[in-house]
Amino acid sequence: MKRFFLLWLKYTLNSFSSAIYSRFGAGLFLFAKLLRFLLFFLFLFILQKSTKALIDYTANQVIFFYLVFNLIDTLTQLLFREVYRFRQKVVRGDFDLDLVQPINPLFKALAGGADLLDLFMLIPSIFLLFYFGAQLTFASFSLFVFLLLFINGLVIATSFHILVLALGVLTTEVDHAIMIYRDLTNVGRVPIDIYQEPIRSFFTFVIPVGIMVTFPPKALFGLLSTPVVLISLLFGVLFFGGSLLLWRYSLTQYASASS
Amino acid sequence: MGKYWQVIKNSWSESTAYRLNFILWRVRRVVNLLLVYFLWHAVTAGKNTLFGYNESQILTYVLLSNVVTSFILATKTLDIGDEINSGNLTNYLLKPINYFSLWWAKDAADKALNVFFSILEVVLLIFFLKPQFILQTNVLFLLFFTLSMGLGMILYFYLSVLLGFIGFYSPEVWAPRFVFFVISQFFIGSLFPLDILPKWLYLSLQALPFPYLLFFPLKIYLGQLNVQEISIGIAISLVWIIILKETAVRVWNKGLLDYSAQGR
Repeated sequence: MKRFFLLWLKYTLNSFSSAIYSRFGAGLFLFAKLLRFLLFFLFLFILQKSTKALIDYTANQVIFFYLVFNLIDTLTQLLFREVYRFRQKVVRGDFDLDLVQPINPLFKALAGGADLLDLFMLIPSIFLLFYFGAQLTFASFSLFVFLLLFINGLVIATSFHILVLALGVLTTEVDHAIMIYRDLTNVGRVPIDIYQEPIRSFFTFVIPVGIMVTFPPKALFGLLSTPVVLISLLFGVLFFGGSLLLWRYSLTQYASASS
Repeated sequence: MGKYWQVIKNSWSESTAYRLNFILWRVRRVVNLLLVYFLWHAVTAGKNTLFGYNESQILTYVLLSNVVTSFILATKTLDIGDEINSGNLTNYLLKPINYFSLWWAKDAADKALNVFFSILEVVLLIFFLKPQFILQTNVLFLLFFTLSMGLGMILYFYLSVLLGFIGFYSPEVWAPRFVFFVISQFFIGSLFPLDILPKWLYLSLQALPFPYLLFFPLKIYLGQLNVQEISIGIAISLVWIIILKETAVRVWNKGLLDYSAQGR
């Protein structure tokens, strides 16, 4: 474990050095991300002023949903930025070099280039989460379930990234699999309950965005029953296991065709 | 004209060669559209009007935005910056073609494909979701709507080309484009109609090119602007087109003097 941590630290520092090589570009990217976060927040704020509630949720709850989505999204972008570069590695044949190294290739493909610039994005995100969270009333047990499902959400997000990696190995036709993941998860910027059936079920059980980002706040508000919480956790574990199996399968299909 | 028609045909061949890519791109568009559609559906449900829109108006706005953005914002000019930085621009300079016309032709092919699929998507969504979609029948509004879309398309073309020309002066072409993308995503009105913003912000935006890329044509379609407001909007669009076109031509001429075919 210590070895993995030291490796991760090394990769991260290298990646950070590379990212700030062009300070102008890094600054612009950071500015744009912050702007996107604030503008969507402004949009929700305007909705809050004009509408008393969105479906059965109060405006503060809707904002809290968005902040939880944003935190999971930012954390995964921070940790798994290397996934965005993976397909090019496969296409160019550079993935061969990772396979011959005494390092778990999944670890390197997943966490081999954390984006420390996203750390700056976490600051407003966490601050606002605490600010709006403090205005909500909830039981301490609900907070515990929230944290449990939040971790479950991170596990599901990790699984999605592993699936994208596996897809990158299995097919070279999908250019932007990671961007498709981003678009699909964007539906979780608002509570998944606003979508009509069967879209709601699709984004809960097929593409489990609902379990990933909507269920943690729902648990905090005391809106999830114990069986649903248990099924969600089981789903997270199975989804993670399934993504690992697909990754292993994809490696057996890797033909190193580009090198 | 024949050579540009050939460019259009080549662009179609390229798109159809990577069919799955194109289909997945459209899937991304539909997913984004569904997010906005259901958000507004939930917000306006059971209310007579919200921000001056009733449910059918806002849902028509959202659904039609899919077609209008395909027409105005679909572009291949995103590649210009990379072509300059990689030195591939040289390939075009050696050929008897006008660089701007070349990108117009590529864009025409891209827009045709995207508009075709976006209309198909909207028809399917109307069929499955059954919203009260407003069909504008006033010929005057339809004419102004078409005109504003044409102007929006020209406006966006020169904006995007100018962003690409940053490549003449910096290898960092994607970061400015990302900033532009984020700003335009909100201020063209794709997530929400701009008139829900605070009045001072809404009025300030009128002087910028962003509203004329989506919000303005859609407001005309919905019949929510009078002839005077439409005329002012068209005049502002025209002024921006002249400014941006002149700037693009000047930057191109100046950029060519600095271009060193680095990377070749």
